[in-house]
Amino acid sequence: MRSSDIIDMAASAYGERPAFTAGKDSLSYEQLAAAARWAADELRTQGHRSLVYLGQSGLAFPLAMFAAAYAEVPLIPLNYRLAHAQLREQIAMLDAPLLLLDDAYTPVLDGVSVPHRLTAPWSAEARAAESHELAFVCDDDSQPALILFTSGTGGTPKQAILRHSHLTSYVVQSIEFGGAGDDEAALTSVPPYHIAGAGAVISNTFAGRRVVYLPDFSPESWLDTVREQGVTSAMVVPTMLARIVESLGDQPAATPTLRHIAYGGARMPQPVIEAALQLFPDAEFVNAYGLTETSSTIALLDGAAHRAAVESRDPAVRRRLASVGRPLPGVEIEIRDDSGRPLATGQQGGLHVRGPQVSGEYRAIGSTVDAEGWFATGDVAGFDHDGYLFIEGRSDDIIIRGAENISPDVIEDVILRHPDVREVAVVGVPDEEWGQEIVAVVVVDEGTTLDAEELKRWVRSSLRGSLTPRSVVFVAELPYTPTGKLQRAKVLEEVCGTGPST
Amino acid sequence: MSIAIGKRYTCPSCGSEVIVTKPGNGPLTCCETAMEIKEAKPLPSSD
Repeated sequence: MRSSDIIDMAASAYGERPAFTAGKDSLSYEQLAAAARWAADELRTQGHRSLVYLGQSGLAFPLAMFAAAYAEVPLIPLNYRLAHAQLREQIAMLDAPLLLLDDAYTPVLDGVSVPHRLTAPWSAEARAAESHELAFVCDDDSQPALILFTSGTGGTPKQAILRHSHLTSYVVQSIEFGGAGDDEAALTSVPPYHIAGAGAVISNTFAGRRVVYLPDFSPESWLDTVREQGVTSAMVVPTMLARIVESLGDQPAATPTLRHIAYGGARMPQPVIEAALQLFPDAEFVNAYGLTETSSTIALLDGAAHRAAVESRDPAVRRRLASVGRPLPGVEIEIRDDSGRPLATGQQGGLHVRGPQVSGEYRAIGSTVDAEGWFATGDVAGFDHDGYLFIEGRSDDIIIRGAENISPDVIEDVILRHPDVREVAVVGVPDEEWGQEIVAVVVVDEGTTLDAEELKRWVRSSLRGSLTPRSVVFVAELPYTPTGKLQRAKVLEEVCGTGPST
Repeated sequence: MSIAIGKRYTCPSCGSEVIVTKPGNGPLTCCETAMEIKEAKPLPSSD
């Protein structure tokens, strides 16, 4: 099945219902299908072999996504926050592209010769076109649908290839066609170059749920949009939820329509989710775990499990608030040791995943899945005895101190609970005696001062001595990727003056 | 027996799965037997 089948099905089943909203402008399923077909014919006629999207989220994004699918070319969304020189390098690597770009990014074109259109007039032209039948129909779902530059928290960004079969398997396996009521609306504030941005387009189109875009996230505009648009579900990355929680203080959110809040894309600090559960008492929270290479979500912790964890006195059940839940239908997950042998339940090791939505393929590198179809995610994880999956972190981030494997997350959660701490990164630096030593890099709340010794005592009061940071460094801010992932390699380099020590 | 758009069917004999992309008249058959509708437990939206 191709992504274009999804818009065909939605147009015939949902017709004139609004599909996407940005500001005061909306597109129906029928309008979107017609405009995307027109744009696809243009792409084919002009011989473009890829469609590049350099813009913020908005109605042009789903239009570009489905136009590329109809035209049998991959869509390649670029990160508009990158430096212009870097964007020019990426554009130069692409195959016969048509570059769609927002007006704000035209300086990127300086000194570059590439066919391009501005998103606003391009969308307007496509939307003005008469209802349109395609001169060609393709049913090959092994073609590339989406190419995403991975965020590169560690090394150089790679171009992950997702084929139509990967994207549609994820949707068909876990979402019911027409499953959304016609009052439902999903608020999307992740950018188009994030896998969740593309995932939101096809999964909500399949379900029949209107998508509302919020390109410039702020806690206030997010809350206003939820109220004005009657938003029923929203997806946020942890840094966004942290800012929403901070802006609410101790006032409950007063968002009566909002029934589901999904979060993912990075690890959620425990104090943030605990506060959010209090501030949104009527919303179900969903923790979604996935990677670009796996077409987004492969495991999730649902609302019932969140509630059970908060209400339970059993430590094993309470701990599940930090879990990513259970694998999705059609997804197999295996935990292996360094030599590739499967580990017993309860043990931690490398997370390997297999299933029809798993790609694991990169341009210029090829497929990285093994002969049996398993993809090594690079995450360290383990299952508990009730089948809940816990992600300990990227294998590169695990601190090995005196042969003890230490997940920085555990220490970070304790430090974050200190009332004067705003953000923290715990990293391992090379140490002659222990192999690695623990360093906490801390941002304190404005107007407060905190003593390193006091913070160490704070950690020691909750965790064993071997988990107490050797030193504490105070900084004004921490480096994150545009999608909210902490850049530990950068912390090590800039703050601790060392490269990655693994 | 009409076949509704978006419904999934499986073949009890060979295990093949299909999804209906255009509605029409049934029944759907595979391996000379009628295919069975597949009820899926819907998951909460994660994006």
